[in-house]
Parts: sequence; C-alpha cells; structure tokens
Amino acid sequence: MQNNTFTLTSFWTRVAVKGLCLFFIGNFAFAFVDLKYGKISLYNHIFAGRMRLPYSDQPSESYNVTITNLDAMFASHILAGNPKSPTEYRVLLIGDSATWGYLLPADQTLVAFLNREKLHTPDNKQVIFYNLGYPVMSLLKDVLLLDRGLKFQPDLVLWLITLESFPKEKQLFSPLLEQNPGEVNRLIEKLDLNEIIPPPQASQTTLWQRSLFGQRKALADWLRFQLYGFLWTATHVDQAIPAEIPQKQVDLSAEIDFYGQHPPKLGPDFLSFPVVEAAYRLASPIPIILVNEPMFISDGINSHVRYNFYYPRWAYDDYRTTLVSFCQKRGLTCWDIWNLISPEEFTNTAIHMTPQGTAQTAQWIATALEHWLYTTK
Amino acid sequence: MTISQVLLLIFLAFLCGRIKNLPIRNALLLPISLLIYYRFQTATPILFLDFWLPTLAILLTLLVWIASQSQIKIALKENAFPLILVLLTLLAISANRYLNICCLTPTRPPPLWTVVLTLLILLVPSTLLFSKISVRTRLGLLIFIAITIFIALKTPELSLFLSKFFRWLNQQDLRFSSSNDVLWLGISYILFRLLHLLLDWRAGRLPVANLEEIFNYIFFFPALVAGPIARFTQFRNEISNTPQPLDTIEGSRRILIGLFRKFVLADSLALLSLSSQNASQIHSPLFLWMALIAYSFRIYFDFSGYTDIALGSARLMGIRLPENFNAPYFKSSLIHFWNSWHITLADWFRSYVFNPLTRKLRASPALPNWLTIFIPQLSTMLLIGLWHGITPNFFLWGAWHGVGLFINNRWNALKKPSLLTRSESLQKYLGWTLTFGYVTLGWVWFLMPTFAMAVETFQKLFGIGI
Repeated sequence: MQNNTFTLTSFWTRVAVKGLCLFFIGNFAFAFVDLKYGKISLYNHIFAGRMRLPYSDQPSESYNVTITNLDAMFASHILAGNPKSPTEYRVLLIGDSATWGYLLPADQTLVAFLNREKLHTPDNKQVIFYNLGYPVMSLLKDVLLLDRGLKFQPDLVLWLITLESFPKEKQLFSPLLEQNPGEVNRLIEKLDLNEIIPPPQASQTTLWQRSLFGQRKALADWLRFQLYGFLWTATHVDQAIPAEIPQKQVDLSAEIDFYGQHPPKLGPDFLSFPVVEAAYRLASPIPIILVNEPMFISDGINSHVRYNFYYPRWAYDDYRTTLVSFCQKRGLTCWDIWNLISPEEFTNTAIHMTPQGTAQTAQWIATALEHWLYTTK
Repeated sequence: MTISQVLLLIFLAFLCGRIKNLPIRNALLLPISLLIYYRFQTATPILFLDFWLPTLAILLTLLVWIASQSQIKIALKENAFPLILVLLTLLAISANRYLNICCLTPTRPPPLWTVVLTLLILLVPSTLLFSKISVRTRLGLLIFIAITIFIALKTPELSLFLSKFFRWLNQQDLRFSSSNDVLWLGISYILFRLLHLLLDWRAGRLPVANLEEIFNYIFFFPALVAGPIARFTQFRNEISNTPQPLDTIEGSRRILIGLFRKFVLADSLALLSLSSQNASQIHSPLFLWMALIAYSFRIYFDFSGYTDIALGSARLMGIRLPENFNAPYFKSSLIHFWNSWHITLADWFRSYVFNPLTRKLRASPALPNWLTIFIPQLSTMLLIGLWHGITPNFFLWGAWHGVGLFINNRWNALKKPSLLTRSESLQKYLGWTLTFGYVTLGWVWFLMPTFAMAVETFQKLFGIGI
C-alpha cells in the first residue's frame, strides 16, 4: 500500500510537471512564432469558397461565423480560390451590409444579380463581380477591405456608399476595425489619414494575450468557421433569414439634427471625403466608381423633415450636393441612385432591400457599367 | 451539460475520492448528489418548476423506500439520520430563497412554508396509506405512478397539458405554454433505477436496503444526467469498496477520454451533422450521406463521452459503474450492436420486458416459434424507441431496429455453417457494412421530427425526387 501511494504520488508529480511544462512551452511558442493560422483554410480546397465575407448573427442556423481575422476572412472567399484568367474582367464591390446582402440568400445579393447579367467588355472579357461588402457603415472599413482586395488584381472597384458611412466619428466604429488595430494603424499611416482619423490606441497585446490560451476564442471561432465549410458547401446557406422579416420604420421622429449637425448645412469637415480620396490613391491606377446606394424614402409621419430613420432631409440633400461636387471637381465617375427603388422593396432598414429591389439595382448598375465600359475604355 | 458543470462534477468526485473513511464519504455523497441535482436543473419559464421537479423526484424516492419497508415506523427510526439529512438538504436548498447563495438553484426557490407544507401533504398521508396496505400493493401503486410520469413526460401533448397545469397553478399566462416547458433533468435514469428497485422488490429478488444506500444509488451524481443504469446490488457492492490508489489514474484517464470525445469530437461533428434544419437544405445525396454518417459518430461520441466522464468520475471514488458502450460501430451484426450500444439500458429492457415476455409466449404452445422471437424483440425495441419520446418517428425507429433484430436472428438460424467457415472474413465485412448502414439509416427516424420529413430524407439519400 505504501509502495502504491509512493508510486501514485510520484506519478501525479510527474504528470503535473510535464503537463505544466507542455502548457507553457505550447502557449509561449504560439505567442512567439505568431503563426498566421488564418491563412490556413479548408475553403477553396476541400470546401467551396464563400460568396461573401463571413458574418453571422446565428452561426448554428447560417453555418457561418463572424470572424475578424482578415487572413481567414479572405482565405475563405471565392476570390482567393479563383485565379484571374486572361478572359476575366474582375470587379470588386465594396460597401456596407446592403452590398453584403443582409437578409438576402447568397444567390440573391447584388453581386449575384450582377453576375447573372453576363456582361462583357469591348475586348470580350467576361465581367465577373466579387462581393467584398461587409456590415456596418464606415468608409475606413471599406478601404481596409479594398486594401486586401487589391491583391486579387481587380480591374475595377464599385464602391456603394451612403451618408451614414461618412461621419468622422463612425470611421473606427466597426468591430472589424477594432479587432484589427495593427492593420488599421498601418492603413491610416500608409494613406496619410492621421489628421483626419486619430489612429486607434496601438494595442500592445501582452505575450499572454498572444498565447494559445489568450487566443482560444479566436482559434475556436476560426476552427468552427472551417468546419461550417461542409454545410456551406452542401447547402449554400450562409445566413439565417427569418420567415417573417421585421419591417423598416415608416413613421419617423421629428428630430432634425444629424450627429450633432444642425440645418441648413453639414460642417465642412464633417464628411470623411479624405477617406474616399485616399481610397482612390490606394487603388490607382485601378478605377473606382462611386455609387450612392438606394435608400427607403418614407411617406409616414414626419417624412416632410426626414427621408427615413437615418437621415433628416436637409442633411442628406446637402451630402448629395457635396458628393456631386466632389466627383465633378475630380472628374470621377459617380452614380447617384438614391431614389431608384420604390419604398416597398426595402426590408428591415432604410438600405436593406428585397431580392426584387436588389435585382432592379443590379440591372441599373449593369446597364450603366456596360455603357461606361464601352465609352471609357 | 456544459463544460463548467462537467468540471464541477469531476472536481467534487475527486474531493469525495480523497475521503478515505467510507461511512463519512457515503454520508456526504447524499447531500452532494442532491445539491448537484438541484444545481444542474434547467431554468424553465414556469415559476419554481426547477425546484419542484427535483423535489418531487426526492419525495418519490423516499416513498419508494418507505413502501419497501414492512415495518415503516421501525425503518424510519433506524434510518433517522439519512432521513434528516435528506430533509435538511431539501430545506436548506429551499432556504436559499432568503440566503441567496450563488448558483445553488437555477432560479429563486419558492417560499419555505410552501415547501414544508408540500412535504407534509405528500409524505404524511402517503405513509399513513402505506401502513394500511400490503407491501406488494404499495410497490404496485408506485410502479403505476412511475410509468405514468414517464408517459406524461415523453408524450408532447401530455407535457403541454402539464405545462398548462403548472402555469395555471402559478397564475401564469397559459398562452405561452409549451411541451418543452417541463424540463426535468435526469428523470429518465432516476425512474429506470426506481422501477428496477420496485420490480425486483415486488418479485422478491432484492433485499430491502437502508435509506442512505437507496438515495446514493438513485442520485449518485456522476451518473445522474446520462447514466449508466447500474443494478442496485452491483452499486451497493461498489460503494462499499475501499478506493484503490490506481483508481485515480484509471478514473483520470477515462475522464480525459470522455472530455475529448464529448467536447472535441462530438461538438465538432455537431457542426457537420445532419439535422432537421439542414436535411431540407441539402440536395445532394453524397452530402446528405456524409452529414448522416457525421451524425452517427456525433451521437456516439456525445453519449459515450458523457459515459466515460461518469465512469471516470465514479472511479475517482473507487466505484466501478457498468460499461455502456463497447465499440458498437465495429460490430458485424445488429444483435451484437445492441449488445454494445447503451448496454445498461438494453439490459434493463432485456430483464424487465424481453425476458418475461419471451417466457410468457413460450409457455403458450399455440404460437409458432418465430412469433415468440418476433413479438418480444419488436415490443422491446418499440419501448426503447418510445422511451426517447412518444412520437410516431421514435416508434418507427424502434420498429426499424425490432424488425432488423428479427431478420438478424432468422439469418443466424438459417445460414449454413459451411458458408460461414468458407468466407468468414468476407461475411464479417459484409455484416459490418450492413449493420453500420442499417443503424445509420435508422438515425433518420430518430432525427426527423415528422414522418414526412423522414421519408423525404430517405428519398433524397437514394437520389429519389431530386
């Protein structure tokens, strides 16, 4: 018995010591090596590439997970699995949740409808559109994704914008940016935006935070996302769309201020046009076409002072005037389709559309783009 | 169970295993198991239900023990200490309403006076009634009550009725009633153990036991949620064994295997598995088969993982619980599969349904031999199916296996021994393929909530109607 106790004690001591050693070695090796695990992906190899960047409110129903590891996000995208062929004219779409296709199945997003138009360039290249839209309205978030997207040799960028993406205070207001402070700082530095957007506090992550233990949530999400690749490939479902979609707000408040701005004009530095200019510099020589996206125009209570939940009329009108002037001054191609779609084609917010509304938008853009391709080239 | 619940369970098992004095450890096991039982209940939308349901299970166990005693007064006197321990634990948990100690119960317990009143209303008249009727009648009455509870909980319509009834008692809105409201953790295993005691006591196969032994057997916390269903005598022998030093090593090894199976393998496979939701979204037969096979392995790793954790935790205390799985997916016949899948449940049904029914049918000479095999096999499997829920699809799942077992039995009886020796390995391989395929296809009945969805899934699996 004594012999047994002795054996047991020494056994547990050895287990504890070895376990602790392995734990610390594994954790700190992970922290020091800074393994770019996001680049490892089952998508585009075993599973089909995703049609849009990963984002989900209900992972178990949408077979999708919101991950903020940019490497993993792009590695899962169909863009990463489609080497550009000489016969392809590649167009990237960036923008907010309306471009991403919130409450729309993957095959009914703006990009999906645009691809159905089967456009060709004058030199007979097939125009293929890719969805790099991502929820939350922020121009800087769009530019961050554009920066990554440019590595995939686009020929053109379509940037769908709306006033809500422009306020300076909204530029860093995106979980994607908050979770990628290093990348954001580098981008702000590279585009010389320091004076317009204060760089986020350089988050000096501790060694412990970078260890295997510290990264456990991110790793678990990444792993879960990889495994969901099977059901994505099998179902092509990447978003749980409720049977009854909640309806947008039609009756509006009488509030006429917009982010502390008062009528009749928005402050001269309020709108982040320098971010737009920086995007043009970043993409150059690849052209960018700005599209002021369609929005819901209410006829409910207080619709005489507001267009919708987001915008007082005076603020939106002033934004449009400034946008037109911005484009004209610089000779940029900008399409303003703010009132293209009838009110009933909007779903839960003033920018999310039904499949019908999205198809109409795609048709308009396709026609305009075809004209642009044949006149500009 | 969540990982934190599992870790708590393992930690408590480890602590109990450190107590070398068996009488003290076994006396402590009783309140610990009851506390765990209350703690692990799921909060329900019905007021105080997560307190009343475990309380009801405790009272039922108490009544079962009282009913087994021929001299109730003497038995109560002799078992005063465990009886007081049970009642004090119950009242202490109830007093948490005023003490508000974190996490003892999922929601706030009801007022203490209602608990005392309920105990008095249920225990005193029952004990008085029991003293007037024979032990056999008491046990029969309790068997009826236990089966009624089983049926009520497993039938969606009756569960809905119960939800409405409990809501009405609490003056809650009846419109929000749902059959999922009555969540009674571990009740299946508790009832199986109680029925085992009642049936064996009634048949005179089991000696009477003391209250502490009975409570420790019924509420033994490592096996509370997912079994296994040990036999009482087996458990009593184990709990009176002194833990050996190497039990800790073996227990820890088993727990690690269980944690890996449940929280790594099963939870990962859950992300690939067939479900009632994705079955209608998958249109390719190949993907559907892959998802179905993933489900087969998921359910195995999930259940066997929990069993490993239960067996390992018990082993930390030197208690060996019976095995529940023995590599079922490697078996080359359905009969062998059912001898190695949820073994303790299958044994339970074999003892209390299959064997008595077979004996009864064999006694009647009018029945052909094949029928004396078919009827017990089908009935047993139907009951195992209905144990998961009294719905058409669980019935069909049971029937699927009942018919499969019968065919397997007939094949074994008819096949020529020369055939077996000539191509043994080929037969084994074919047998494995058939068994695995049959069991895996059977999960479609188990998974799909309606007959129509199950049929549609079968059609898609074979490329029909795509």
